[in-house]
Amino acid sequence: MTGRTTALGCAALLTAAVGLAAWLEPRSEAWRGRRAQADSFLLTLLGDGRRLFANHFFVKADVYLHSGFYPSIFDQARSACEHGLGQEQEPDPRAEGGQQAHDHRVHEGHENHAAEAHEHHDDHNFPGPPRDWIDRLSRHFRVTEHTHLAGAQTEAEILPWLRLAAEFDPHQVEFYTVAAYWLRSRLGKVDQAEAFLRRGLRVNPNSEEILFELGRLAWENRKDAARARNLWSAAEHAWHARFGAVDETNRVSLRRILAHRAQLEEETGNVDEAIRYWTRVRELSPHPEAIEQRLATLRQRLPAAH
Amino acid sequence: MRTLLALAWVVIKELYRRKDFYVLFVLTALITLVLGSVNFFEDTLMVRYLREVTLLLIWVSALVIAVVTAARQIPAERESRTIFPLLAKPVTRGQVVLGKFLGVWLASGLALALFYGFYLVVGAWKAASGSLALGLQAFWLHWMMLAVVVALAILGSLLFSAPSVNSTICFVVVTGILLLAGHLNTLAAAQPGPGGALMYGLYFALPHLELFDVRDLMIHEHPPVPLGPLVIATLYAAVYAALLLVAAWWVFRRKPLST
Repeated sequence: MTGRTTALGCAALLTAAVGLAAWLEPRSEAWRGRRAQADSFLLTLLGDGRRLFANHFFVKADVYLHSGFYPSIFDQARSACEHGLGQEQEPDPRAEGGQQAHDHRVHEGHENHAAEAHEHHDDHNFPGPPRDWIDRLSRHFRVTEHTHLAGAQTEAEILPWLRLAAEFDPHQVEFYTVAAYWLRSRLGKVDQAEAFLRRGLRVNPNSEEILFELGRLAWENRKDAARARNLWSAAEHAWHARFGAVDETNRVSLRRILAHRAQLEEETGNVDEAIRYWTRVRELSPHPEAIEQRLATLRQRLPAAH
Repeated sequence: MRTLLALAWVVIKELYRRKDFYVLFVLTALITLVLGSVNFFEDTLMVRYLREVTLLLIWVSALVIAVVTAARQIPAERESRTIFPLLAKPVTRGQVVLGKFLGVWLASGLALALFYGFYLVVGAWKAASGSLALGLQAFWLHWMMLAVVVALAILGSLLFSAPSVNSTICFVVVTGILLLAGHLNTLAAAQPGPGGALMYGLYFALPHLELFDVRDLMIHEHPPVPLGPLVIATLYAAVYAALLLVAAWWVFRRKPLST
């Protein structure tokens, strides 16, 4: 084959590729189903496969958060065999209001999603003792120290993966809420967090989780009580529109919205409203006695408030 | 030794005359530069994702260069019939195998050095911190791993009919080892009976190429590997490369050269 033939062949292939792309692009918009919602032709072609990529990138973010110390699928399978999967964690009684409790929850939620068999890193020695000399030797060449990204803005290293995950599966709201948490709480990028959440809200307009996070951002970072109140009301409505009735699977998300609303009302001096919301939280809480104590304290403040 | 170096020099010259390396290097550089210029949340400090992608591209490129170059050495000599004048000289078949191995390994090392040099340039561009000692260790371990891969591809070139078949099989085997070999003991422990014993047998027989992969240590800025394990890994690679080369020499000795 001469050089001229090769060049002509390449030119023909290039022309055919460009022509095919130009022909397919407008037609892809008319395709039905989730594929049609994709932003680009490449994502359309990937179809539901892009959700696999998205989950992979989300796990990658978790790997980065733990500086590469992460169980392989084989370690996860072994852990699942040894400890059993699907054990629901008891909700944290501290989660009813309070910044510290909430930070813990979001962080924990992020980790749990990414590695259900990861057991929230309680088992820091997941590889176990070395089984043989090759295993012992190999541990010098891989990450065996469990550290978290912390300080000097190193937490930002997880963000490219979260961004990519959201690109590949824009309907997974957790990608937006987790990225926003890190952006506003650890990196001080409140504007970026809000922009990313709003981008998520445009794609998922009825997401109570994104509305809730926007409310937290408005209250905790911007100190804008009115906006936070509106956003949490919208989150509550979205929750009711989505679930209707309370059951064991959705109880926590409603309790979280109501607890934050109650905390906001309490801090802004609306004791009546705070009592109303805490009463609703009590009905949903697995530890109503702790809420009852709080309600008693608020009722004592009630005459003074009036 | 002079014969070996002469044979090796021919292979090195072949590498820089062919376009494989340049294409792979330009592709690696292009992808890395495009990814490096992406803006994530207006943050310029993120560097680990770029390290990960660059190192992955370097690993893929080095593997392609090593396997493809090694796989075509002896078949090309046979096809062009230059093997006959070569063996008519005072050169033994063992020296041909060893010379070809040395040439491909050195050529792969040169290419690898350029790739790792590019990696350092990217690190400097992003003002990233990182251990130079670990970088040098990563290069050394990677090169030692390539010694095993090159020896494997040379043995394959004497067993399989065409370089393309050999290259494909080598890629599948090396990728399989990199991904699974380290976990065979876990799988074997969960598998009772002869299946488990077979997996254990494979676990101890296969060369553990994943030992030489310290990308995670580099990406996440962990300390360098201690000297002892580094020496053991080097010896481990040397033993496997030697075993494969002896097997290649043994096959080549018995192989008729007529095509």
